[in-house]
Amino acid sequence: MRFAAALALLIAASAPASAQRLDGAYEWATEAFEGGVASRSDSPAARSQFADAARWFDIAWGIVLPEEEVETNRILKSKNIPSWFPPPPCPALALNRGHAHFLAGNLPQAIRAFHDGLALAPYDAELQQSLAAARATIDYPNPSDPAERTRPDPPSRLRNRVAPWDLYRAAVVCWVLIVVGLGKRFTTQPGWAVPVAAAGGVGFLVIAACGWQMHRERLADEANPVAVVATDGVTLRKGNGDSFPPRIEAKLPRGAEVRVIGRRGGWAQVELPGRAVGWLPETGVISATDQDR
Amino acid sequence: MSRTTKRAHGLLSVCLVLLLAPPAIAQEVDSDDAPPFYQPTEHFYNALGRSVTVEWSADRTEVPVGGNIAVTLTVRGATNPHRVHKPNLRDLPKFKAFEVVDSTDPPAAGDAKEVRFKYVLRPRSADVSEIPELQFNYVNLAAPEGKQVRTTYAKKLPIRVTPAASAATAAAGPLIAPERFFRLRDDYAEPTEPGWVGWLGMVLLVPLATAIWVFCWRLLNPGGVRLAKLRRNRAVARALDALARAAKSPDPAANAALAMRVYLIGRWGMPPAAAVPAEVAVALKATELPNERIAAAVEFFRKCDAARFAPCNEGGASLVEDGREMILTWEDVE
Repeated sequence: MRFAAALALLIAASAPASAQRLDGAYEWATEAFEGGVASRSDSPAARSQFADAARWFDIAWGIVLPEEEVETNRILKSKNIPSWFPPPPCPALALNRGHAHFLAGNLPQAIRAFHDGLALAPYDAELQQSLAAARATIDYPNPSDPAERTRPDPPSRLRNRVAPWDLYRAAVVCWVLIVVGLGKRFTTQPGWAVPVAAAGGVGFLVIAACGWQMHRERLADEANPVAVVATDGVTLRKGNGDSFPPRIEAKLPRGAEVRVIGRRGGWAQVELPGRAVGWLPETGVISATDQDR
Repeated sequence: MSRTTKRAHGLLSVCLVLLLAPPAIAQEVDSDDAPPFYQPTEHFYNALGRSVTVEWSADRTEVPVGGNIAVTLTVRGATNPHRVHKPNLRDLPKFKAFEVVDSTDPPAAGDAKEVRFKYVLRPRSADVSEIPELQFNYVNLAAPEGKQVRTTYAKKLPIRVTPAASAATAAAGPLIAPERFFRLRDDYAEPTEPGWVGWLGMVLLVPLATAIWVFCWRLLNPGGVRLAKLRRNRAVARALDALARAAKSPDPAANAALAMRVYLIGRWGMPPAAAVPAEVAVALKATELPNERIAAAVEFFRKCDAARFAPCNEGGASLVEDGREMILTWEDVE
């Protein structure tokens, strides 16, 4: 009810146009979130508010559930707004989405939101910390075989540590070293000119190697996106059907993260953090990438 | 009274009752809905149509005890979608396992193909395993009389209700979660990255910036190129560096003389044994140096000795400069 009313008010307040950016979704989401924080002593009421906030954050991200899409389009058309588009995605929005979903009790959606944000800014420390805090609430099984491990590794790759702009700043320093070294080498020729230029060159090569490695990590992430197990007790099977035996003994907990390798017949072939590969029903996992936009 | 008369009286009574009865049931249907003769009261929500279907959908399949699950009842095929009433789930025994929170739905348009009714349900216990089946009666006015009332069902929807184990999903009491989750970040700025133009530009600017540097330096230092070439000669470079250090030393005259001796030995092949001015003059005559330069060098060494052994030891700085100018002149540097 609140959601529909808020959407109607938002659209009424906006001027008619051919396509409008729903920046106002931030305000509605923030209002609902702050309401949830204010009523945190009453868990059900707070969860309801956080669920409202999560829906608004989802809309701001560009995710509209099918049943909401019909209603949204109907109200928009009645206001001569044929279409709307979400504001550009950003790490802060993903972080807030994740927080709202977590507090609303939707752990898989929260983890999905954090991964959406990390796809944009893998170096974002706040997103990494919130993801770690969300993972800490999951009761991962402890298998004897390391390949069956479901507990994900903390983000420790190069692109999780280095921001592209940091790399660029380091490159600028190396650039200055090279130019100063070469400039002095071709003018006054002091003894330190060549070593300085060489140091800059080596630094430049190291930065280029880091950039290449980060690019490879990005391609690998895009090739095998993360998916989140939506419900408790999902069985990883050896084939794409219920008749296949389980791949591992333990059931996957809700919120477990897997990498999707392929899809076939309503089943997704996934890889666990321990490298074991098996099949999960697509209805049992939610994609943690930006596929909904 | 005969049996036939009694039957006639009974029929008349029924007709009178039907005619005089208040139209309470008929009020459920509007005039344009063409009310049927018989109005079912239970599970009838004022839907008319030839083939009406109803369906449950939910926003999630798993919910903790006391948690919210948003369900939607979709009614399709009704010819009067704007007149269809929302079923009150609170009155239905099958839904006693849920706490029902109604939502206000926007009215459906008269020509809508479907009507959606939204509810928020909160399961009361972990024993709940489904959204129950919902009976939905409707009236097909095109059907023959007596067969107009039809029944359809919204099939039950299996759900999983988990006990309130997680702190964030506790059913009652305060919401306990890490404090960081209660904070919002408000810097809604789109992340940017240095594009390939920036990287390529930086690489291409290296030779360009170096060329500009060299060009400007040559413009400002016309003899710089020659000096730079000179510095490739180890003897000249060492002598100029020694002269530069001599200017800052406590005995600049002695150090300037030493630097000049090193230069003459390394650059012009003067024998190392020549120490005093007279020996230098003799030694330099054996080299390729012209006489005027030999005389200038001898004079320089004499001045150095005079400055070194003078009572106040003055003029060291000017001797250093003289030595530097002598070397640069001999090496054809402007």
